Amino acid sequence: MSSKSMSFRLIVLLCSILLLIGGTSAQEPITLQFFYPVGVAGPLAQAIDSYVAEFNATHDHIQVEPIFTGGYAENMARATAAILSGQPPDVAILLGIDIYTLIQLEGIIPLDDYIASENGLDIDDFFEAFMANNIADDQVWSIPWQRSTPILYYNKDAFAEVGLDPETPPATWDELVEFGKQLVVSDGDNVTRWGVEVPTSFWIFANFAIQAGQHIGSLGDDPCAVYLDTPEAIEALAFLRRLQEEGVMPDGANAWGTAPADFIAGAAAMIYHSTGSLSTLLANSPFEVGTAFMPAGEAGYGANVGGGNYYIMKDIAPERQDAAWEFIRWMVRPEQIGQWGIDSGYVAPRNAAWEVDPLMSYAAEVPQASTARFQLEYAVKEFPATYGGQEIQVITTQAIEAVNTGEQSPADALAAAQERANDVLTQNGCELE
Amino acid sequence: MNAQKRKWREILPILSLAFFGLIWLVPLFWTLAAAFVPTTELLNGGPIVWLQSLHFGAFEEAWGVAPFPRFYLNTIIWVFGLLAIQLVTISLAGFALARLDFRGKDQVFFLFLTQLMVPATVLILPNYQTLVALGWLDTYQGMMAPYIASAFGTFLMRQAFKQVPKELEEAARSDGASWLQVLWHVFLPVTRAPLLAFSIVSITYHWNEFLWPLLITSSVETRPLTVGLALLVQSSEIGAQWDQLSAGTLIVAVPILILIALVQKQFTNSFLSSGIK
Amino acid sequence: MLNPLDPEKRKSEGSGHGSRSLIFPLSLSGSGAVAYIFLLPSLIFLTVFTLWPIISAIVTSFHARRGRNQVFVGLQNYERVFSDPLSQQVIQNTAAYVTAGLLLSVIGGLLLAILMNQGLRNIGFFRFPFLATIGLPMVSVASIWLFLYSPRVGLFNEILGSVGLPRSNWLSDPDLALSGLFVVYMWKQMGYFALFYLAALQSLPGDVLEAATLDGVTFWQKLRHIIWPLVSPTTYFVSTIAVLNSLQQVDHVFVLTQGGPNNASNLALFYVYEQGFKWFNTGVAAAMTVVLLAVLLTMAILQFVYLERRVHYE
Repeated sequence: MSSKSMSFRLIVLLCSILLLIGGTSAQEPITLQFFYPVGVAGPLAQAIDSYVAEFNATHDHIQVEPIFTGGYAENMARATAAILSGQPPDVAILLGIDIYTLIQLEGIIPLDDYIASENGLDIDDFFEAFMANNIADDQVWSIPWQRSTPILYYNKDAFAEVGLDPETPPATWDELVEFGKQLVVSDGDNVTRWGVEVPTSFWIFANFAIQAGQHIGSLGDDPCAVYLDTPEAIEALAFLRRLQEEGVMPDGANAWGTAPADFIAGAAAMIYHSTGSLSTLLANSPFEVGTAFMPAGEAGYGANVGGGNYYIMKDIAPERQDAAWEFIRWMVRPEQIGQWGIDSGYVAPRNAAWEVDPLMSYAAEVPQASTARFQLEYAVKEFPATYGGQEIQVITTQAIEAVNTGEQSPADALAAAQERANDVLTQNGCELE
Repeated sequence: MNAQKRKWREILPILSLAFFGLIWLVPLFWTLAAAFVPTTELLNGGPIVWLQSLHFGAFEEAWGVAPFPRFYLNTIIWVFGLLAIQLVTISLAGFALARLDFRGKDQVFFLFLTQLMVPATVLILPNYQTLVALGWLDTYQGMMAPYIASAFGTFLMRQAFKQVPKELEEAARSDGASWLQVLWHVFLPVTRAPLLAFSIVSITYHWNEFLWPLLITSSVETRPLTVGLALLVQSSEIGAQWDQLSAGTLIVAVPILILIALVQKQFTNSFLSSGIK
Repeated sequence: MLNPLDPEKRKSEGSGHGSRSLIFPLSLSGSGAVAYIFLLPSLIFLTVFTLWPIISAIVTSFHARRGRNQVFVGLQNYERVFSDPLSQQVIQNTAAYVTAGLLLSVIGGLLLAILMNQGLRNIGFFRFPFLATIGLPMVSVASIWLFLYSPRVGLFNEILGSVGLPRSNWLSDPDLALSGLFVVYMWKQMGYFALFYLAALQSLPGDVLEAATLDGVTFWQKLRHIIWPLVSPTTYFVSTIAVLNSLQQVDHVFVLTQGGPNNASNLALFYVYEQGFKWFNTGVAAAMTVVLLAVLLTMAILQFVYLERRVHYE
């Protein structure tokens, strides 16, 4: 990595010398600070650094300095601290749901003029669900990059073992329960294989609410709307509890990180998890891994999305903003963002990426990679795109925990969560009825 | 019979220490296993399988996620550079508090005491703003700044200096030595133990420091080892990758573990004679 | 001993003052100037990087963030800290955690030190495990324990299951999560506290312990009537450090439970971290920080007054 960046510096140096010799006035390259978080352990940072190195090598007048900033939480904290101190980065990957917080901070600029310009971007090519969180006040504020959505992973060998068709995953909630029951294996009182494991998280719960007919977040541009105590949400949470009561899912709260390990170890025959886990699960599972849409509820299929987008910062010179746009535009080229999808496991967020190599060949080779793409048809705006969204996430997860551990009924837990969420919204300046 | 009983009295504590020691080491054994055994087997096989299939894949991958050799160098510069400065500040401050009279001593005391009470985590964001104002982001001095004054070290040295016999100080003073000379020639030579004890506490603390350097450094030239570790503990998307995480832990921790093993006798002794009792 | 408020030391300080000025015809102001020159580097950095953030936290605690601006909200943040059921729970959790930390650091540290204090050669080998854990990064330690605790594939439940004992959902069970955090913390820090006691034990005259052994006194009698009183200054010191230490570690909460399930393992510093760092409720975070600091400083001052009085009675 360092030797590469060294050689690029040499190239830059050589170029500037050549320019000087040629008698042209040497243009000082613009150096952009680029914050990015990593949500998956391992070589993702290397991948990003190598893309940036390629960009720098092909752009004399712009040099991007990639700065790994930790997980999403540290990344956002640092970006906020930098914005407040008046020395923001130039371009950053931040969560889609932080859009209102960033607008409130006056930290970012809308990108419509860039999109419509000569060096624009075919914004309609991006999947609608991945654009939903990027729009506020009828303006586009960010461009999708590392985007994911949950899908159902299932153990095909286990399906075959209990006489289920490995090519027919559960399509409805009822089938999920039914298949799940068949897949459970017990050794005395101790269950050695559970039917399904649904992580106790707002991000997974939101899918069930959508499938039941009412998203827990706003579908439009309303930073003050959260719908946690609707009959549909209560039904969704009651269904999660039912999975436990029927002995299909482990009792208690199920940690996000536990599910993939349980799946690999054969201790859970099906799990709900992020598309980002696909390559890990494929590489480490000693059995055939199937992927499927999350089973449909009364209102059919439904999915929540997540992940990070490119934002351009406000308090920087216009030519830096121009340069940042050029960088983003280069990074989301179909071939480039397709490569990123392969390297990272994130869903390449635009149609064109799937229609060119390298992603086209990869998708042919690894059919599981396309499940998330086709499920996007049923996907909606990520919850909770509101003011104080990070806090509302935690409040929601706590309500699910309270139900999954048997402390509260779904209706009570969600009513309490709605009240707390309203408090947060009010604290952040929302006027609720 | 009595002799036998006495023998038991000697052996029993050693046996129990060894027993607890083994239990204490279980997570470390597991870290080793996880780093060198493929995840599939780690999650599916028993301990016997583990030994059959050593592999270095995770280690190589972990080593590749960041320029670790450079990060080692950076860590050494920041940890030992900071220590060198701290040894000066705590000796001077400890001496003033132990041996000199001055107005406002209680207030100064209170200020040091406050630092001991404030969790470093709550200072991170305000100190970030201060570093911006000073232009010290992404610098070694910026990383070191909040720790240059150390209440822990100052109190440790103050206590050690108090135990130095007054006669030594008086003899030196009557020979016309300045306070600085007294400190250097009389006090420091007899307080090596607390200096060592402080050094080891400081080194282990800052070597492993996570959030602060991650937040304020940007470039390969300043970032410490724990930033590399930060790349390996990310689990928000897919849960922890045990193999790479364990390998990363070893990359960061092995030098410190070797240091502790090497100086453990002096380490223990330094605590013994540092006047902490 | 480290404690700055140690009354005995302060007493000798006081008496030393008079005698020294008799011996040295050195003016107080001269000594004072030297003292401040010696203290200057520390004072500068303490002021800029400790005192200033505390002052700004006090100011922030009366404000709420609105975008880039702060608006004055009076005591609202403090009301929230004291009346919010969540912070009530956080305060309860923290109190339980700190108390347990205090007790186990003292009792476990002392017992471990007694074991370590055997006069045999090569004892260092047996001490290593307890020192090694001090040197590991908490983030790694916590991540490793996350696996050990894992309900279905983790080591603990594998072991329990293999000997026919019931398995537990260590970190996801509201009754166990806080204990789960606590075990990790103690595993890492126990050796540190044992070191202080080891130092104390070794500075005791050897024949005291030896004589007691020969007289056929039981171990518990010896511990209760001989060792415990003799190491009481260390106990005082270890208690102080144990309280501060248990309040100031947060990385394991972040990795292992995020304060869950349903806040069952939420601790004061994690609350501050979440409010301030993740949610940017800087005012609430600052108010909690100020409360925490006020409690600790009050404790320190009370301790000082109490000990000062005790010294006078003696």
